[in-house]
Amino acid sequence: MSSKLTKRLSVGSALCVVMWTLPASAADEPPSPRRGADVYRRYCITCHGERGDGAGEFAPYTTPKPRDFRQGTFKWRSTPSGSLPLVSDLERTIRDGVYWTVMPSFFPLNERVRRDVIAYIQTFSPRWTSDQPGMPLQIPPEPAHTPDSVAKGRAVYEKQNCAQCHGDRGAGDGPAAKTLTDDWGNPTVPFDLTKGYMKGGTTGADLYRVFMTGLNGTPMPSFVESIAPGEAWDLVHYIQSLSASQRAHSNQQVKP
Amino acid sequence: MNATIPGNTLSSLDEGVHMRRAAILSLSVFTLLVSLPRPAAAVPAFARKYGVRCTVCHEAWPVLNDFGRAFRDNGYRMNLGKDEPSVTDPAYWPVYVLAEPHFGFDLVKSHTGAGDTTLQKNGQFQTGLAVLGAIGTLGDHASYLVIPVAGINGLTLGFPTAEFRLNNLFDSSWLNVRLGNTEPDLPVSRVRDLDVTGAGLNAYGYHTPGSVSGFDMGGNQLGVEFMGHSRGSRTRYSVSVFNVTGSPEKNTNFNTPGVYGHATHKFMLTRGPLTGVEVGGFASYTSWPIGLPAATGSTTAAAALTDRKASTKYGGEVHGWFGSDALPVHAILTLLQGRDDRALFPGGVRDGVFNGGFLEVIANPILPLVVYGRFDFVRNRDQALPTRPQDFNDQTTYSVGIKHTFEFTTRAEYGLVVNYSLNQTKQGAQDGSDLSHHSLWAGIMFAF
Repeated sequence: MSSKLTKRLSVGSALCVVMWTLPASAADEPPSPRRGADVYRRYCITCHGERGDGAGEFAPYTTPKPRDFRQGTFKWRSTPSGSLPLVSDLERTIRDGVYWTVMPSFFPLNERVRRDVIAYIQTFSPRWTSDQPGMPLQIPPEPAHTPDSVAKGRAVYEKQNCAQCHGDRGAGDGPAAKTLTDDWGNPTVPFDLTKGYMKGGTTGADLYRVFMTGLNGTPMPSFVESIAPGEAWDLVHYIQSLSASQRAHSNQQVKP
Repeated sequence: MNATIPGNTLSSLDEGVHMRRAAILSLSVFTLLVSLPRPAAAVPAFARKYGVRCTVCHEAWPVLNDFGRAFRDNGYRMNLGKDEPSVTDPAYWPVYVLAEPHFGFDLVKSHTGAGDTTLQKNGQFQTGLAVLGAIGTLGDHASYLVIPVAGINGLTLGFPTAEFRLNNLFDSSWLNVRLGNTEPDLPVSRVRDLDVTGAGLNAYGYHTPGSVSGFDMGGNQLGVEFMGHSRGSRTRYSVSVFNVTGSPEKNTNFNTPGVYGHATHKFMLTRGPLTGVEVGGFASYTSWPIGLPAATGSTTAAAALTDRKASTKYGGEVHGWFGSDALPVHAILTLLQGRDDRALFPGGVRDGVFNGGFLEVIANPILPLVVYGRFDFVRNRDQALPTRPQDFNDQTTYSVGIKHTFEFTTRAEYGLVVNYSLNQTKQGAQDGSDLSHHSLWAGIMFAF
């Protein structure tokens, strides 16, 4: 390669390294709702709608329906039932997506993009100015996944009457399955726990979090008052046992 | 300036003939590039399947953004259980149509000390590109892309792009295999180029004048590609092995092999006006038979067909994204060097070497509006034929354009495009004078 070209490439590479390292040494920029609006229009508007009402042009063709941001009600949280989510909860949903739905993973985007769009989403509901997110759920370390734990989990499943919605075998076909609606009156179906990948994440902790905090806006309640942490892990293991692939993937992140 | 090197056994060849051939070849190649239909761009089939606008995957249609690139690298999959045909609405068909009716104007002039001579002046309405493509997934680990193209005014039909891709072998995103006739993984994709006049990115296919090699790094190559990527495709690699397209020998024999590699890494920045920087390197090593007239494939002793000589290209790229992440200004600098073995030049006395590259800027001030421009250059460093001036056939191209999309939904998109380019070639005319080619493209692009 010619010396001129080599010099140019070297200078270009050096500039890149400098530009990369300088900003990284400073604190991250605060999120910007203004920039977030641009992000929202580019990526989110077709489902969640211009006004954040979940009535975008593609919404009629999706089940479940896209979230209406105006109530400040969010399914995927680490905070108590009824509470606002943490920003990190929203970040996780945007980053990893929601399996089995049309909500994709936006992991490829810059972290700043995700923070900006969260700041914009927060402008749709006055709750974000009047309320504070609750204390996040503390998830204890996972005990060993044993046949005994699975058997105990089955007992918890029966005791808490999970089969009423999710069915005796967890296939989402319980007696109440066809009658359920969400807070907006849209029909909703219980998740088929035998499918493998769970909507809210693929790790045991993700599953634990779902039934201990509930899914706001849906018939799925929080069981934090009725299930002890040890029992909750047993239930996780039982649910994981319903699907061979779920167990295989239980400690892996989905990687879109 | 080059000097005659002792030992040149073919120095008695008529230089004038070579110069004229080179000039005609350059003009022909450029005209071909301008007139050829471009295959894939945006794919509305995906918009319908996943309920997203084209803006989700395209920084500026058809240029992919980070999300779109990760989607493509994953084998056109979102990886959230909605990809396979078995879970897709039965009414969904993975086909799409692109069309570009437009008015095209071309003005070609030669420039001598005595003045300018108009060699070509032509303006007409054209139906231009028309693509009916099929693209999608066959299963969790298999994807495909087939693009038959009806070209200018529907007079040509072919399958310039067809691929079958095995995704995530051994459950790893670091190993994917693509088989077929496809474009290599380039710093800037030619099929996803914003420029619609066909100008620019010259260095991909350039060879120092007189070379018989027809390898075009930016063209589709029939072969196999191994590629891998990190989560989100921030780090990527691609290695392609192929039979060089356009070889005078039969493609089926795999007798003009080539290899191309490309690796990139993108740094995401969380503070400051610079939001991302990507650096990468690429290289190709291709062979070409000697003893045959370029692009004719006839009339030489069989013994000569077994002799192949190398053509190499290698270089680096830097991408920078400025301003808003959702409405970025994207600058791309790519520099490369190409070298053809002296034996590829009838009468050549040393390797032909050129430097080339381009600087491109794509600005997206508001979502429907894209403004773009590119400066593109090729500078010969070593002419293989000693009597040629060093700058013989040097090329400079300027291209500017604007695209305004009037409508983009999850079903379709259409917009107005105006694009102007100027290509200048040193001593590119048949009489040895400089050549300039002005192109204007104004029309509508629509896709559904």
